[in-house]
Amino acid sequence: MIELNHVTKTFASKSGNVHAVNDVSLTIDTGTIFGLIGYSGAGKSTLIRMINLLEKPDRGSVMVDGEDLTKLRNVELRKKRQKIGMIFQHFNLMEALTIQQNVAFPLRKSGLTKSQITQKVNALLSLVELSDKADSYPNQLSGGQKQRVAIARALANDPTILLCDEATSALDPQTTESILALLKKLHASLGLTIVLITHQMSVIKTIAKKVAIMENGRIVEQGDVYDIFASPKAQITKKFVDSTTQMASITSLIDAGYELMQCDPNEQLIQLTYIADSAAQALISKVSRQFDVDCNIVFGTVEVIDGKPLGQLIVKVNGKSADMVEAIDTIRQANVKVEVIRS
Amino acid sequence: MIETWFPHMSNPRMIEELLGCTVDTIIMVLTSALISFLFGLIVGVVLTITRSDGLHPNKLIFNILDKTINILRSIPFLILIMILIPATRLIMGTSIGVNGAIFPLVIGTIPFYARQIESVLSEVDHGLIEASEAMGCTTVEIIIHVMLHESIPSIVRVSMITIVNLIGLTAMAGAVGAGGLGDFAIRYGYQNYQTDSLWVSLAMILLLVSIVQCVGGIIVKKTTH
Ligand SMILES: Nc1ncnc2c1ncn2[C@@H]1O[C@H](COP(=O)(O)OP(=O)(O)OP(=O)(O)O)[C@@H](O)[C@H]1O
Ligand SMILES: [Mg+2]
Repeated sequence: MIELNHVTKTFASKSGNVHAVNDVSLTIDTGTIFGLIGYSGAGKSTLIRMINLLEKPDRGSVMVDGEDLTKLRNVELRKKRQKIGMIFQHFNLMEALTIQQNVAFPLRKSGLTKSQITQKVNALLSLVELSDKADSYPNQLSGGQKQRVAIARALANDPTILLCDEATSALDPQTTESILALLKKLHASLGLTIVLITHQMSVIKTIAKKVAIMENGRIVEQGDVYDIFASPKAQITKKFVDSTTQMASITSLIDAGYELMQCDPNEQLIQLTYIADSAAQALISKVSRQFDVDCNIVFGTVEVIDGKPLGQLIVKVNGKSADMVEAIDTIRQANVKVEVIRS
Repeated sequence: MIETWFPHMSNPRMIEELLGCTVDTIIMVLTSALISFLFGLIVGVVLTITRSDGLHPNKLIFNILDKTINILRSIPFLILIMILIPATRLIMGTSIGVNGAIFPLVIGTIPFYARQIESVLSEVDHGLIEASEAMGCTTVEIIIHVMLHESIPSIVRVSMITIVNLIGLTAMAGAVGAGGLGDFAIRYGYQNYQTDSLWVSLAMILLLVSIVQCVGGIIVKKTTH
C-alpha cells in the first residue's frame, strides 16, 4: 500500500514560489491500477516522483508498505527504490548499451551470477515480446519498442510497484493501446501496483481502476473510475470525462447554436447518464406516454468502463412545464442521472 | 631536384634531427595529454555535479574551480610558461627540454579539457540520470555508468581536439627551449632562414594532426550506436 500523507513541495522560481504539490493525501491499495490525471503543470510528475522519493517532500510522509521513505537513510532508500520500478515519457534508455545490456543494468548489484542474469534478461525480454531485439541498440527501435524495453528494465528487480510518468504520451494511439495492454497483462500476471500519470482520460478509461484528478498542486476529486465517469463533480473532471466520451462534441454543437440543440420555451434539452443498460430508452417512452411529453433522442452512446457499461443520452423534451418536471422526476427515481443542459 | 627544393632537408643529418624532434613532440604531447585527461576529467566531473542543477550542488567548490579555470584560460600560453618556470623547476627538476615542457603543458591543458568535459557531460539527458536514480544507483555509479559511459563518443571527440590543441602548444613551447618540432622550426627555419626546414616541420605537424583526427574519427564511429 502506498500512502501519501499531507505531502507538500514548493519550488522557488524567479516569478515567486510554485506550489507544485500542495498538501496532498492519497492512498493507493496494493494491486490496483491507479491513474492520476491533470493538465500540464498540475504537479503530477512531482507527486509521482515522491513515491520513490526522487522528489523529497518539504512536508508530509511517504509510506510504502508501512515504511516511511522520508525517514530512510540513503543506502536503505536505494534498496527500496529497486523494488519500485519507474518508466518515463521519453523512455530514458542508455543509448550506448544494447537492449539486453539495458535490461541487465539494474541487475548488476543483484548478486545473481552472469548466467542467471542472462536468463532473467531473456525472460524479461520475452515477457515484453522483444526477444529478437536483444542485441540491437535503442535508436534502432521504435518508440513503442523502447517503452517495452524500459518496462522490462523497470521489472528487472521484481518490483511490487510500477510508476509510469506519461509512459504513453510520446506514442501514437495504436502503440499506446499495445503498451496499455502490456501493462494490464503485467498487472494481472505479477500482481503489480501500477500508478500512472496521464493527461488523456482515454488512458484512464482503458486501464485504471481508481483515478485522482489533479489541478494546481491539489487533488480535486478521486474515486473509482466508473463512478467518476458516471458522476463527475468538479468542473475539470467533467471536462476530462467529456473529452473521451463524445459528449464534448455535442456540447460544442450546443454552444455553437446548432438548430437541433435549440430549445423553444416549452422545450428542454436534458442529458441522461445511466449505469449499466437499465433500459433508459424504454423508460423514456414510458414517461413520454405517462406525462404527455414528447421525447426526442438527439444523441446516445454507451461506454464500457472497467468492464461495466455506462450509457448517456441527450434528449429533447417538449411539453407543459409541470409535466416536464414530473417526467424528469420519474426518470431520476429510476436511478438515472438527469442534467438539464438547456431550457 | 630534391636538392634544389630542399637544400637543407636533403641532408641526412637534418632528417635524423627532424625525426628526433618529431619523437620529442610526440612524447611531450602524449605525456601531457595523459596527465591532463586524468585531472581534466576529474575537474570536469566535479564541475558538473557541483553545479546548481547537478547531482550534489556545492557553490563553494564549483565557484573555486570555475574561477580558477577562467583565470588560467585567459593567460596566454607563452606567459604561462614563463610564470611557471620556478614551479616547473621545483616539480620537474628542470625548466627546459621535454621534461620542462610537460608541466606547463599540463597546467595549460587541464582547464581547457575540463571545460570541454563539463560541456559534454551537461549534455547527458537528464532523464537518464533520473532513471538511474530511480533504479537505486549511487552517485558514483551514475557518474561512471551513465554520465561518462554514455558520453564516450563525445569524450573521444573533445580529447582529440585537445590533443590537436596540445600539438600547437608544444610547438609554442619549443620557442622557449622545449625541444620538439616547434624548436626545430625556430632554430633552422626562423633563425637560420632555412625556409625548407620550416615547411617540412609544418608538414610533420600537419601529419601528426591528421593522424590524431583520423584515429579519433574511427574511435568515435566505433563507439557511437
Ligand atoms: N525542479 C523544479 N524547479 C522549479 N519548478 C519546478 C520543478 N519541477 C516542477 N516545477 C514546477 O512545478 C509545477 C508542477 O510540475 P510537474 O512537472 O509536477 O507538472 P506535471 O503535472 O507533471 O506537468 P506535465 O504534464 O507538463 O508533465 C510546474 O509549475 C513546474 O514548473
Ligand atoms: Mg509531468
